[in-house]
Amino acid sequence: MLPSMTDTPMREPTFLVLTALASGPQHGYAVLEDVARMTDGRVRLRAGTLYAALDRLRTDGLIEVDREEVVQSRLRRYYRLTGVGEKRLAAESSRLRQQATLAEGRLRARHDLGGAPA
Amino acid sequence: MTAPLEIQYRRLLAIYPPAHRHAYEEEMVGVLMEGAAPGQRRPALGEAFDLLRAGLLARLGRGAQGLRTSAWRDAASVAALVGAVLLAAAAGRRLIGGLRYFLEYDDPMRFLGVEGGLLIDVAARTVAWLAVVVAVLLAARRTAVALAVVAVLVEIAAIAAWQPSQEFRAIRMSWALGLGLLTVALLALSRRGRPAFATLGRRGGAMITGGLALAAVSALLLPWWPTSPQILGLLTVTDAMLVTAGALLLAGLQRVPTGTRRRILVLLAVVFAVPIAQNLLERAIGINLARSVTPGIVVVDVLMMAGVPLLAFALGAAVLHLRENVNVSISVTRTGSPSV
Repeated sequence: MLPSMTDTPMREPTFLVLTALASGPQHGYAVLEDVARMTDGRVRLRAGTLYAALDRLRTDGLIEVDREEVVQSRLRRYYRLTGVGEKRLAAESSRLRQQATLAEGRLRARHDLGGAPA
Repeated sequence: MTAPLEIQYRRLLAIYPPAHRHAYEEEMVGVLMEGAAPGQRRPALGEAFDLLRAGLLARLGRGAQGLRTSAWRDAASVAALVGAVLLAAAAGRRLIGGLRYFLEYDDPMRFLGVEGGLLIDVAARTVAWLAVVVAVLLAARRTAVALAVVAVLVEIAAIAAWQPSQEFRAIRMSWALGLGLLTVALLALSRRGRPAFATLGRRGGAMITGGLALAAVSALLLPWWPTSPQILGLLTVTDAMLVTAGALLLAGLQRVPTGTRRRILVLLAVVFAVPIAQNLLERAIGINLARSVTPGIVVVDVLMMAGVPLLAFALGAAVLHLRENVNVSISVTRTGSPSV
């Protein structure tokens, strides 16, 4: 794994692709649909972006191919999270949770002090 | 029969490098066709643009794709700091030299070879770039970009002020302009609110600052101390200081994370390519014998000042790409599972 990878924040598409695969192996199109569903349609990944992320994640060892199928003469490749991918996703979600908790705490303090504008 | 839409998608996918197409084309066609609306005959504009963008990036390689990653951006702030220090040092040396002549002979311009002038332009250039250095050290990125733009304008004004009496002024000072613009670009690329020192680490930062300070002191000592004593008859004191400074700089760099360190070295090669380009340019046009600035000289100037640093970047990025790809393939065989 590249040394620079572990300490930098993950980009949103990468985070969402890993989150989609956390529930079990999925093929490319299912990942696109899952990401749209998880974000209530706010993030709609396109094929170019999705495969750039999948290729990078595979190279970095965060995901791997689970199995291949041919459905209506089209190739479907299922991807799954690796142990490294699981650790990275866990680390990233804990980082995001910490930041969210911090922001909420400060907003609450601001509200309690009556600092918020009317 | 292949649907017209599929043919169009396959044409777009031709922009990807062969290895990527081999690995993903069938799968991507499947995803694209599954996402197409019933009766759709052409790829949607956004989809086509996304494929072209991702395909071009895949072709340029992971290096180009990651130009905006944090490792590059951290490296850019360090390289920008070096650029600003070099520009401040170049102007500062002339300022100190001029002031010395002023104190000793009451003539500030003897040193510069022009009579009756003042040291205003070198003073302005020194102050402008020192301000950029301070802003970079304080991690005030926007202020640093704005100050660097002002400093470039000061350099242009300094060239314009001397142009009437020195026809080759603009040619001789091309490096200052080139390095100034490069510094602005590097600052624009660097990350907001992350000081160069956070990248270097506390000990790495201290070593590099110590190295730079030692190098500056020994460079300033040279004109005052032309016959400095020798240590064990091997090395003069000033040389020993320079060697120590170099060792400190290397040791400081060694403490930076590998990915960032390699990128710092690539960008430093670009920064140092600018004065080298100036040297090559002056030799190419034979500046000491040339009578006047011809359009040909201007063309050679622009080509060399842009071309040599670009070439340095291309070479550096290529070496980086090769090294990191070798690294990746090694780690993949270590961590990869046999099912892939």
